[in-house]
Amino acid sequence: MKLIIIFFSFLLCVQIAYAELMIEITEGSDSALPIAVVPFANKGSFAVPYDVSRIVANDLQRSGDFDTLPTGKMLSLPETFDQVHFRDWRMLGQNYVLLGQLKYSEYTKKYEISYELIDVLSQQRVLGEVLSAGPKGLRKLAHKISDAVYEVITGVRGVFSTKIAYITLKQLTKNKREYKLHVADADGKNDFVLFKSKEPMLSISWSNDGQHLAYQSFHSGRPAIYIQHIRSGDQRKVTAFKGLNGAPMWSPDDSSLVVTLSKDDGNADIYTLDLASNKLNRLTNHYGIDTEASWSPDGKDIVFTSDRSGKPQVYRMNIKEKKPRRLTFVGNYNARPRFSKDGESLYYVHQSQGGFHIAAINMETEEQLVLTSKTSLDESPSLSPNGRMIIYSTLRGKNSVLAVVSVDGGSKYFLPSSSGDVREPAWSPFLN
Amino acid sequence: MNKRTPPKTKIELLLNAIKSIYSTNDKRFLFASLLLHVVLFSMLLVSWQDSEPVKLNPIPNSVQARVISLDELQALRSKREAEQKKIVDKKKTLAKQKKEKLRKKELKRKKELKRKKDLKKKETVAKKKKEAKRKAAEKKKIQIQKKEKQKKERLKKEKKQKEVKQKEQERLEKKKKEQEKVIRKAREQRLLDKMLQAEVEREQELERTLEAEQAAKALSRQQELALAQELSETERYLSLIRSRVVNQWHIPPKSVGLSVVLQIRLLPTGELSSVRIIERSGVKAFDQSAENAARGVRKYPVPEKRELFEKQFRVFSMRFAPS
Repeated sequence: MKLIIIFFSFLLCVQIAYAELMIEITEGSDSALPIAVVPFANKGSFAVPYDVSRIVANDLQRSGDFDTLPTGKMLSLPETFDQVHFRDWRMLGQNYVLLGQLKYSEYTKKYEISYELIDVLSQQRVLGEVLSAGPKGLRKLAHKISDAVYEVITGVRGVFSTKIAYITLKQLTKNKREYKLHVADADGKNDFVLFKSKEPMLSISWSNDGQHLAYQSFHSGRPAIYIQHIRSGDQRKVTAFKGLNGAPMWSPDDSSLVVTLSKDDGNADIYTLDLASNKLNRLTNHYGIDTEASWSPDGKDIVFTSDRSGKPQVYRMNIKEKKPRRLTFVGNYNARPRFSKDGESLYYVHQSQGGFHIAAINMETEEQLVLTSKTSLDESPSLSPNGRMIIYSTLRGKNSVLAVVSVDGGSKYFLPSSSGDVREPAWSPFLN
Repeated sequence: MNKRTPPKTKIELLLNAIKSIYSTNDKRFLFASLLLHVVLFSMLLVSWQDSEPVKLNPIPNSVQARVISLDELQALRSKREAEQKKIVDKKKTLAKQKKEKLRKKELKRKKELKRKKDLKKKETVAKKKKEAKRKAAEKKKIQIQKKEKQKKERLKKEKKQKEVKQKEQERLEKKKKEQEKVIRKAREQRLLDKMLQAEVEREQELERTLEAEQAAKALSRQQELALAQELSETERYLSLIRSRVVNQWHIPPKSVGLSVVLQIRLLPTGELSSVRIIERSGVKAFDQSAENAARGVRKYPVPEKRELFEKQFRVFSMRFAPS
């Protein structure tokens, strides 16, 4: 009994002590987290087709959450934990060091990569793995390392192994154009053409299992919505009604699409299309144009663009109650809304000061934040599966290019354009 | 001397007459004689049937005379007259019957003629109808051909119009595209100009910001010192420590609502002796970020007064809870 009383008295004293000197930290640094990605040592005699550590460093840098140290500024290039001089890295202001080795095995015809992530401040190894891949799989493996590093430091799953889909437009001759639907890695590399047509394509949407794409195409001469299996390339026309057939978006359970049709009265309204039964359910019925709908994460609500108030604005509607509620009131143009993964924010195209920018609105506080004030003519925002980044198309020089911005507007980068205009990007879900 | 020829019978005469008729070339006499004979024969036949057989009284070898009275004579005469009248009437009846027969024949002939005429008329009508029908079919065929021709011409015309329209549309589209191109170019140029201007402005803004930041920093430092002077010694060092830790804390994404409490142990020089998590958030990355922030401060600002250090800053706690 005595011991218990003494123990609780001790705890009380400790609590009192804490209460006396408790420093509250409610803010953090605006700068990105410093990390050094040391070039991985090639321990074999064969050349490596890809610079794996460079791919990892680029991935982390692009995320906007990390600031990678240039190789030239490194005081040493350690290959293992034992070779790390913490004082040097601390002096360089680095919180983490990523190092590794790779070796080609002639027997397995694969590269074996071992890497370690070291916390400079606690002087501990926080992550370590040995992976292997063939020469063609090295890029994928590098993205996998990036994902692991990102997740262990931030607690959020990385999106470097995901894909993006987009459309390119190439002017072949004076009157001949070519539209191509591409699928590429999240960094824009390793792309392939899934479908090409002389007619326009629009509004790509990934199924949540990452197996299919839905999009609008004028390939048959009229607007129609198609679904295409990515691996096999099998294409299926799902709607080709009279008038508009566009803006498809998969429901969270992939059982249906929300689409824009004008089949009944020539006016664009929003419907759901059950993919098993092909049954349509009309959600809006208004003389204004209702389009560009997308689902809330729970699949109970949709948000969409409507000009029922005279100008394009964003509305939210429960699909059972069918009573739209206007969400945006700032500016004359707010369109193409997309929910954040937690449903707490909404991202959309907002017109201000003569330009079109990507903006975010907090659903609870209704506070609006413009994320891309430095670019203009920004279009088609699509959220990364971890909810941290937004890919969109914007005008750069004479052509449309793809750009990525973090959801807090903190960092931004452009994706390399292979040819012509690049537009209508869509970020895939997690693929494994 | 003329040889006396025996008297010819009626039949012989008739045959002769017939022969003479046959010998002649004029067939009209033949028909006339035939007709006459037919008439006569008919009359004879009628008279033969109707007349009473002539009673041949044997001729008395002697003349018998008988005296008759005047009345008897009168009666006889009346009788004879009646008989004659009867004969005459019979003849009249026969003539009448003949006339009636002729009339009927004529009527029949007329009827036949009429029938033939009607038939002919009917045939003519049918022929006319057929002709009309043929003509109508012909006309229809011509009309169809005409219509087809018109249709072809119309289609040709429409095609031509369509082509003209298409050409016009293409021309307009081309024009529109050119206009769009010009507008786009102008817009692009404007955008480019704007971007360049924005870039220049951004650089200027950056310079201004840097200057302002430096000024603000200087001001902030001054203010910090002034504030620190005003605050108590403890509060002053707490404020300095907070500032250093904030600069080192890289808050992981999605951390709003999380909280972690660390216990910090310092050396009198301000160096970190140890850091320990005493209240976890449940999110490893978040806890790690707070711990790293605490470790990231190379040297904590601590009071020179040993007593105060030992009392307040040897061991203290920090709560990391992003707002």
